Amino acid sequence: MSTSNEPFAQSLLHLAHPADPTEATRIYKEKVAYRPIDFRKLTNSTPKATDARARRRELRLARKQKKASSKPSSKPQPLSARQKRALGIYDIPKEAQKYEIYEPLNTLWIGYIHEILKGSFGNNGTAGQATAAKLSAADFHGCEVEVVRNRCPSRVGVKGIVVKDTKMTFVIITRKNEIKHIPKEHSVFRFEIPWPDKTKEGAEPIVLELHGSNFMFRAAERMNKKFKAKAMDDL
Amino acid sequence: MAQLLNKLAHAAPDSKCYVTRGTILKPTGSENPSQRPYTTIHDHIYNQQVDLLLPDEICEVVQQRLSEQLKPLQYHRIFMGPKHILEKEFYNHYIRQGNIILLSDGRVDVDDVYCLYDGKLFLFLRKETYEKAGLVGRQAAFGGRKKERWVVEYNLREPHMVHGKKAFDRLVWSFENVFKQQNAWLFCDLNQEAIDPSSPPPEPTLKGLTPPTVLRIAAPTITHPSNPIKLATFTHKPPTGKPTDYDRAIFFDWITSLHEWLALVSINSDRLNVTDSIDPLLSRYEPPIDEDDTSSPVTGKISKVSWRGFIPAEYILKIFNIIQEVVPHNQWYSITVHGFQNTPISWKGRQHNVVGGGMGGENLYTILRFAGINDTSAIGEDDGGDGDDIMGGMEDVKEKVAESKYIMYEVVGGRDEFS
Repeated sequence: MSTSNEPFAQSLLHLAHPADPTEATRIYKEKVAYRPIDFRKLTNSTPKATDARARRRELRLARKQKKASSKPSSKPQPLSARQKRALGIYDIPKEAQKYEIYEPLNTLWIGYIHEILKGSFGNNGTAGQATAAKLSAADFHGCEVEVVRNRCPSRVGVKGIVVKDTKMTFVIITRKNEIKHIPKEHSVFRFEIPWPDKTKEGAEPIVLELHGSNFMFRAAERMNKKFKAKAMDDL
Repeated sequence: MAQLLNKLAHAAPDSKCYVTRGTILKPTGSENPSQRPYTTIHDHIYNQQVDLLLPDEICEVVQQRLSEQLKPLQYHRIFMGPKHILEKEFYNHYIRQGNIILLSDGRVDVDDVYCLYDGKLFLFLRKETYEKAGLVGRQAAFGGRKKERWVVEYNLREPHMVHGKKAFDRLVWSFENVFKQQNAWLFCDLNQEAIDPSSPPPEPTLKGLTPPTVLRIAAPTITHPSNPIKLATFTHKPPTGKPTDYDRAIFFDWITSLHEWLALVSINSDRLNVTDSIDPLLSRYEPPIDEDDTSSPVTGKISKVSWRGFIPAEYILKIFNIIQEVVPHNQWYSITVHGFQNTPISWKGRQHNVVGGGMGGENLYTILRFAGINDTSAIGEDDGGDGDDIMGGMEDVKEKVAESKYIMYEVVGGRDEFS
């Protein structure tokens, strides 16, 4: 029998482990005297809701919390608009803001358009529905456009080569080496295509007008898009 | 039901007729006083017809004086596009240094209309033209719900409005590339002899203008009546002191019937024929007569002097001053001036439009000067002669100077900013 100084629990444990007194003291120390108590669990010691509805609600919230903290996505999130502006990675650098750099792009584009539109234009420049569909699906990077009609008077007359075609705007570089972002909404753009057939030298170029309001899609999406007639109250 | 309510809400506003009663002040020196009726005449810029109605007896005198003092007015009709007015020579000579008025044709509710006066160029554009033009403007007053009409305004006399400056070059670019349509324009040079005696006589061709012009002259045409017609009497007791509504109603009644009678005279209506015998079922018209007044004649002859053309306000002021001097005080006269129905500006730069279907675009005024009356007790006197509403304060007139009392009617169309 131990002396009466020992706590009662410890003496009990010694009884349970007669052969191994260190084991008994260890167990006592770890699991009784210095047992860690999780206070966090204690704070939730509100009385459990007896109401069925409240119980269901608690269950639901607990499940939600678990889900949120269980598997954070490992994919990188896309940049927000603010971050893009701050980083400036989509801006065109100063050295690249020269009209001469994009002139060859323009000639490339004209060649590309000629490829697409081979044989689409009749004798006097008339074209059908199919041509319109091809043009809508075409890529416009490198096309020289001029803003012909816009709700904002100061944008009318801006002329330049398209360097970027976003969902809502055209980014254009003008002859004066200025970059202009022109929103497509409420705008009409005009561009010219020299006559495709080489047989008609000296013929006037084909002039086409593009209504920006109906064109507000990213270039990639436009390829497979079927354009439906849109109400044009603006005009 | 909702649709019906909508229609009523947009219901076209009616034309209004503003009546002013007062005394004509004598012009002091060379400046015309800045009171009505002078201000009304001066501010109504584009006029196309002037009718002067006089008793036949004084017509001779008036005619003579007019032919002495008033030269026939010259104006031009040009078929051109807007870019021609910015050509260097024309621009510098007439717009920057001279004083002209220009008005293009075009219906003011559906087409583009351009006008120029006092060095200020106004373009009244459709929405489509405005969006293509690339010039900054504001919405027009009567543009409709969908912002269909816009006004672009440029003061061409500003120092920076010259060739070579950015603002002006933008205007030139826009006129070159966008405004390609050609229109008929009316041009009147205010620096001509008819208006300002010190100016040199005008040249038949305009300096610096490439398109050809057609010169026209607005000379007065005089119609003498063949038969006497029924006259109205011009005496009436206007409300004095604190007029009751009843007094005012009577006065309005008389005023409007007088206006109607003047209109019938100017179109030589048959109803005014002494020998008219129309079925009373169709018309029971009688000119407004004051039965108590037995001194005024019941029938008489009235002659009409009229000018037709592109008449600037300054010319009309001249006519008015001459007539005011030459007609003796014991006779009456009336001047009616009609504006263009398609003018974008009526008085004082206020915008004007027509009411659905091209109607309701009237903007005209009539000044009726009464025969001077020596009996001053019958008529109350307004202070300063600028009587605005008919509630004139009662002031005794001490002198027996026969002053020129007048009534002015301004008929303003339904869609007009002027009031």
